[in-house]
Amino acid sequence: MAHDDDDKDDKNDKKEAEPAKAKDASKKNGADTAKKAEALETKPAKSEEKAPKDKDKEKDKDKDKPVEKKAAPASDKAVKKAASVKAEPKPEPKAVRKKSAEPLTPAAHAHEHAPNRREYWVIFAVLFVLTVLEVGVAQMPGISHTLMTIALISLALTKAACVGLFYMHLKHETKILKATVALPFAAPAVYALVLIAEAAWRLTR
Amino acid sequence: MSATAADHADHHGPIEYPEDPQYGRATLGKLGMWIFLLSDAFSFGGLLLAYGILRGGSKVWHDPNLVDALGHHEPRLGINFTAGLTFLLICSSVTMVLAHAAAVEGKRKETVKFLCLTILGGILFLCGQYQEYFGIWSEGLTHEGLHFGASHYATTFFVTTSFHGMHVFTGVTYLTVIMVRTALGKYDGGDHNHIEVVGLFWHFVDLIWILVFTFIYLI
Repeated sequence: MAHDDDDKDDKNDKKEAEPAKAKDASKKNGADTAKKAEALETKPAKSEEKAPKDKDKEKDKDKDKPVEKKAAPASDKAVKKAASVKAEPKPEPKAVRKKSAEPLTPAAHAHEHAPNRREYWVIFAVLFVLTVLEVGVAQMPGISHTLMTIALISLALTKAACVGLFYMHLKHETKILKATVALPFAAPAVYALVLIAEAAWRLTR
Repeated sequence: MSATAADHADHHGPIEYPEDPQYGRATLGKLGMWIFLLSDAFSFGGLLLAYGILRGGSKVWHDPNLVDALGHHEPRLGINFTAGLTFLLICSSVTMVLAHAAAVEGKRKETVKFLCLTILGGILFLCGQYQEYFGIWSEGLTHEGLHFGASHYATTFFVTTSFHGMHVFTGVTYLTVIMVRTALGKYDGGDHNHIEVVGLFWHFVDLIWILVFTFIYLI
């Protein structure tokens, strides 16, 4: 149905436009360019009045016209299609965001929290202590290399997590952003584990 | 349309992003930087995995009997000096995060001060790395007999640490640009997004160094 309405509107548009052209043509004899310009000026004014309608039409025009051509016998399907196109109003991106933003996790709001300097210094102290510990462990005499490696890697991962969570503010991001970062970051580690497992399996053969 | 365009051109304050159900108020710049950092993490991941595979596949990782043309035995990597460099990067991470905190509070001078300290930390790190490689006040590793291509031990060390060094250099350049823009008042009025994004890059450089230091030097 909407489809038909559009067609009518289009026709009306043409009717309006044609007399304007005719007027222009008749005024050409007078070689009055100023008046021509006037006529041109009035045109946009008209379209401005109908601006909201026109916009919608233009959007629909693009969509409707191909449908029109395909469904020359004017089958019900085509009409329904066109109707459904209009039934789904083109959502303004902002409106959608605002609507869906309402049920948000508190983590998203926390982004605006005031910077916590105390926390930054605490993390600094933790990083310093862990670095000293690492250097100590690396130079510890009489410790098995495997145990040392495990200890060093855990210490390093703890430090990296501290930097990521607190200094890069991942702690305050949404769950999805955390996952977006954490999962790919874990990929090389997973690959390393696969390689180690494969090497271990080969040793047993 | 023209009205909104004019608004945009005159815009000085922070650009309020609408709350996204998935990504909250994270700005496009921040998301873009995170995606870049992930790809960068894969680059370092590749280097560290290659290191692990080479090391795992070799019978002797560091061979002190390997002698270069000048009769130098291949040296072991020093830990203490590099631990100092690690500490330096951690310090510069703190100054970075303090610069961001100052920016959030709209304190331009303090932001510039902490950004300068961060840049200083980066430059000192690069000097430290130069000293380690080539020597400034004492002989560097290259003079002591650690040569690129001579052994897997030397090659993986040079490739990984120099790749990280290039990141530090990039970070120093990036920070300098942002520091100058801050000093010029480009981020006044609460628009501190660029400072947070440069912070992400800088912290990532620190985070990667923590891992590189552990894998290349300590283990």
